[in-house]
Amino acid sequence: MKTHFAARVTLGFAAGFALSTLLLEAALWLLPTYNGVYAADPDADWPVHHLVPNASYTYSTGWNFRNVRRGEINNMGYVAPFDYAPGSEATVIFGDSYIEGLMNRYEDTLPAQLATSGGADLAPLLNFGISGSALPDYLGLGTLIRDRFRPTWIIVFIGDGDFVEGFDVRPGHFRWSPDDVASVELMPEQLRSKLVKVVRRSAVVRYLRANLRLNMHSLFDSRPGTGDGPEMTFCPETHSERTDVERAKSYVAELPLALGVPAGRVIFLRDSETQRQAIYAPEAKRESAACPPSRDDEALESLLREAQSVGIKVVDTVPLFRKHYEATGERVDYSPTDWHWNATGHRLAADALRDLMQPSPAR
Amino acid sequence: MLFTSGEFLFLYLPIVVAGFFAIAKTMGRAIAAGWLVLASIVFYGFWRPEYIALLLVSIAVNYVFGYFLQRGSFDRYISRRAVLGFAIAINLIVLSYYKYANFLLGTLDSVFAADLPALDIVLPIGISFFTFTQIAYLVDSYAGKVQERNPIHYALFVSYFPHLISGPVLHHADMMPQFARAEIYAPRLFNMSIGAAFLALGLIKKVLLADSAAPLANELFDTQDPSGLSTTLAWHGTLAYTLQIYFDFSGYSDMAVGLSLLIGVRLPYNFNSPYQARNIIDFWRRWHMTLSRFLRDYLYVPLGGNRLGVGRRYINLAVTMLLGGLWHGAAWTFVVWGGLHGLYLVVNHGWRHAAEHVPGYRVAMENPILRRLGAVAATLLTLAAVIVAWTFFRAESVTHAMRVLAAMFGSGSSFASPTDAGLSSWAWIAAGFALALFSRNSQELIDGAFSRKLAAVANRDLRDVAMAASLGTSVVIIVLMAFVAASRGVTEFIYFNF
Repeated sequence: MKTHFAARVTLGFAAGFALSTLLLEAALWLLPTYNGVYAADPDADWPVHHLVPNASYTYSTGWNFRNVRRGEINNMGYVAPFDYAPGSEATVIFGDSYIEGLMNRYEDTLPAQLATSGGADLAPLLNFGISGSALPDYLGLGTLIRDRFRPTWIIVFIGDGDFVEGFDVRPGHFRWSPDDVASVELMPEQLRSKLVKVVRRSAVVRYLRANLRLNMHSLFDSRPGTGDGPEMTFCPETHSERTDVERAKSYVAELPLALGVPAGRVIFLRDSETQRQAIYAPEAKRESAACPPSRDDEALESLLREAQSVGIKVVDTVPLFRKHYEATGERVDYSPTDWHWNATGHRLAADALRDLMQPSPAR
Repeated sequence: MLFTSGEFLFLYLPIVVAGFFAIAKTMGRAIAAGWLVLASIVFYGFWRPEYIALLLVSIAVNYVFGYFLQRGSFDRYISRRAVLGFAIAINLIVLSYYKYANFLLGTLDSVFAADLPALDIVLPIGISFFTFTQIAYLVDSYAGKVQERNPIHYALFVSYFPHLISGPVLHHADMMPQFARAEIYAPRLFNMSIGAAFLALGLIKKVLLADSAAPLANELFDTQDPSGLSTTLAWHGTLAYTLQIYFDFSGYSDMAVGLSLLIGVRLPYNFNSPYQARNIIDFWRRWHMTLSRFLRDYLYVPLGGNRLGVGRRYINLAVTMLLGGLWHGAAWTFVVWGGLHGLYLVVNHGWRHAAEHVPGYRVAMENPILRRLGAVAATLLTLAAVIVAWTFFRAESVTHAMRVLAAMFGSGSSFASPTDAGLSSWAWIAAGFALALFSRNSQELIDGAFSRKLAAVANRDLRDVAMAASLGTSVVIIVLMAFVAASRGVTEFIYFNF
């Protein structure tokens, strides 16, 4: 009898669990759950991390599907509503999720706004922004792009962490070579099994991974602040390596060469989430000031200094954003839930770039 | 530890429940009860282990006092009444030190400009709850009402993790006899099924409803300078807080009931659709019901209740509610909140008395249309009164609350849309009130309709399958809610502060 009872309970539990999960799956298919943004399989022709090409995507964030956006992934696996034609002239834009821009309508993104207002002088803008990219990716990608397109201008978005994240090992991404400060090396993209591909298309899995951004840390760390003193300020790594400056020097020399453009046609677009937080909340500035400059801060500062010394142009977005916020009270991002730029942030950045890219009489 | 966290739902809870039944089966009921005490202490000390000692000493001292009050063999040396007074005084002194010392110093400082430094005290979580439950035990020990005296059961009654931090305010007569019953020491599928359903519903209330209302309320009440508030923002934030505190606390109470049922122990219900109340007397029979019962039995009645005439009754009501307000927190805002509810109750009792003498009132109330209109008006008036009082409950200061109220009732700077969300957040508030005003509550849904449906399945085998299936469904919801909660960051329950 006990066995029968156990069997009944197991059967009932499994049925209830499975049916509820299926119902949840069905509901999430109908709702605007994050969808369509999948890493492509390894491709010898384009061996870097990119998305499954020729697809539509749905972007949303949070448990309640905030900021729903829909868009297209083109023939090369990048977010753009048009295909990239090999052999053509191109204004190339590099960056991470900020430039990928899933959280904005394409027409509101920096590439689209720059293309609209950049004038006939500007070659088609090709967005190579991919979430998770860092500085080595752009150097590595440079050669591939030069082989396929004829770059005329290069815009590189640089955000907090983009130097130190370059040491991480991520499939399909370039990283700083451990042995040679002048080079980067590609970590092979991983081949995902059929099972993984099926599972990642599940609406429940997409909801947990992309909408909820589920991770073990947030799930198992609910300890609140002590409430009897200032909250602990997290200070990032501060130990700089001597080779960081050498990498920066080498990077600014190599990047224009890799893409086949003069240094004067490369623009570094520097943004800092930490400094943007301080625009909205001055107390955040005081807190961050309590930390010594991080390794990343110092390396990026060197990079920008070296860049200017070789003729690369630099745009710092923070003063632009601060000026805009002080004048209008309008935020340039989706904070506090998401620090990625909104349409205004992209427009201000595009305006600044356009000023630098105006054709000079000498050209 | 938060009921909504992964460490609680996926580690602590399975280990504690499975361990409890396994120990009961292999080592006996006394050790299983001890296991629950130990687990409850771990739960309590998870955030602040330094207060475990305070809890244990409080339990031990009160048990000893209770023991002597029950035996009464020392009457020739000291009266039992004096012992009771002494024991209650100790409890209140400890509570006052931790909860009210800085309030008192702050008040003296502002009145006399004495420049008194604040004490470095952190309020031990749940101190108001475990102090009150033990005072009730002492009073009933003195009155000869305590039947169950097992020290492990006493420790468990006080420290029992489902209620320890935010209630319900338990009564020993409801709880200790349950720990003595053999049935709770073996798992019951029905209890598990119903308990998991309560837990799932409580999580939905907390994670989806209360935590969604919180930022809308914070937008108003965290404003540093409330002088330029718009009328829209003032209403928006106050209505949001009205929903937040209801779903937060009733969600916690549902979870407490559900968690306890997994072990087979029934906790009292704490809410019964309070915003559907037609008057304030009714509201207090539906809101935080266990606290209302405690205040009635251990404060209002000992003060004289309604036995000493109408005037004294009103005074007793006002005093009870003022102290009830102060129980919630050491601030003038809570005093004003309690005072307002005391005033409401006095007016309500006065109206009841006066209405009987209004010509035509009885006749009008016999008309079904007028009666229905009257009920709607009464519900709305009650809700409005409750909302006004919540403003003081939530605001940082009485001045801040007064400015919010002023903005709500005419002096607001504009009717501008309060947030970027605008219409959607108003729609959310409307949906929240529709739920609070028109839907059935947790116990009606789960312990009523759902239980009856399970019980109505005639075939026992099928009933087992149905109960297990319901358990499976609840587990999916619980896991999903835990994931959603994790994605939203740490949000404590409002009543953790009391």
